[in-house]
Amino acid sequence: MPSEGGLTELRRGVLGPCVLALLELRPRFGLELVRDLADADGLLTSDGTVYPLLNRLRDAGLVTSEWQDEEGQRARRYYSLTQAGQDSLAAFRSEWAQFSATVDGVLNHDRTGVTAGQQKGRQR
Amino acid sequence: MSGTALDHPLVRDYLRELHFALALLPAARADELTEQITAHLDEALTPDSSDEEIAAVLSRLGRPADLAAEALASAGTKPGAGTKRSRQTLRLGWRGWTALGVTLAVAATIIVYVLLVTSVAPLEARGPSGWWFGRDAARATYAEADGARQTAVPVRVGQLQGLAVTLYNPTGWTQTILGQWQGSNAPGNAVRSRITVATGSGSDFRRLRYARPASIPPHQFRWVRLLWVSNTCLTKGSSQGNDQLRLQIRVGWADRVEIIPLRQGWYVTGPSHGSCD
Repeated sequence: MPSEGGLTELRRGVLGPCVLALLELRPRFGLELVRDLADADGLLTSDGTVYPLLNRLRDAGLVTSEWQDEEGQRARRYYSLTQAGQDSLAAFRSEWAQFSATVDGVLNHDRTGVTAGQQKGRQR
Repeated sequence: MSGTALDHPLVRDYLRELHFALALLPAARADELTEQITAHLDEALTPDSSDEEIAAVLSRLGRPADLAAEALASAGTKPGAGTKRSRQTLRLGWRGWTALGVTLAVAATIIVYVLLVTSVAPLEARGPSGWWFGRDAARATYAEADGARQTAVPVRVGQLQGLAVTLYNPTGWTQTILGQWQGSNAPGNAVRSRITVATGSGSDFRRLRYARPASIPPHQFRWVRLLWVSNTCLTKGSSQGNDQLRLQIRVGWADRVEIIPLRQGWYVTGPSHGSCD
């Protein structure tokens, strides 16, 4: 059974693409992102981790942020996806589909003692 | 409850703790994250939020230390790079600190140097002296009254006259005579005057070479020659003189004025002839 630390690392690894995916739909402000992510059970270990992640994504050029100060509303910093972010998200989706299928396969066959390598060999 | 939720003690404590927890982050990144967390709290809470609600929001945010660790990991900042308190100054970076250190060292050196130089003792009039021209030396008179000595020669208006004195440098610094300070040091009025220093040592001052600027090395004597053309109009029995030299001196890199008392007063006496007739 994976340890809590292992799950945390797993969450950390997929949280970025999840943020990109949420921003793909529309720009969002910080708390909005946090709540959307929190709605996905088990994805967030703590709300605060989203902000360092957003800053890292922005440094990487995958998201941008800008303040919006609309009348009647409080000023908010909105995050939106860049083209590089879209490309990165698309690449992750492709890799994730393959990766998760591989992991699923390994996990499922692990019960019967068949490794992924053996499975590949059979397919060839 | 009035104001905003940010005024709540629990929130203030959390933000204060966060402030210190972010000490290892670069200042801009720490400020940005603080702003994001503050905005989060301001948005998530209302002024009417209960202590329980506030505690729950803060709990979901995570401990400030964990948040800081996450931020450090994201920023790639290594712990131990500095503290928040010193970050304002650490922003200088090593180049800035080096430049600042060099600047301060240079400034301190200059200050110490100037203090040293200005505290150096002035030149002293010691040893022999005499009228430069044999014609004056032959007619010179010497007198002493009340412990003060003086020598006098007839003024020769429009003609070159001069004297030579020995100056001693009692210090460990080379002192260079640049010129006279505030006009002429000649006895009486002079239309022009020039002071020069013997380039070497010797007892026969008239055979030495003189130049200016010229230096007197530490703990050495040098003849100093003062030549002038007088335009002093004196009546018979009257005189004008000088018993000190006011010189511009360079010590090291610093220029200063030295007023050097002479061992005797040097006078020219009337009556004047030539253009004063």
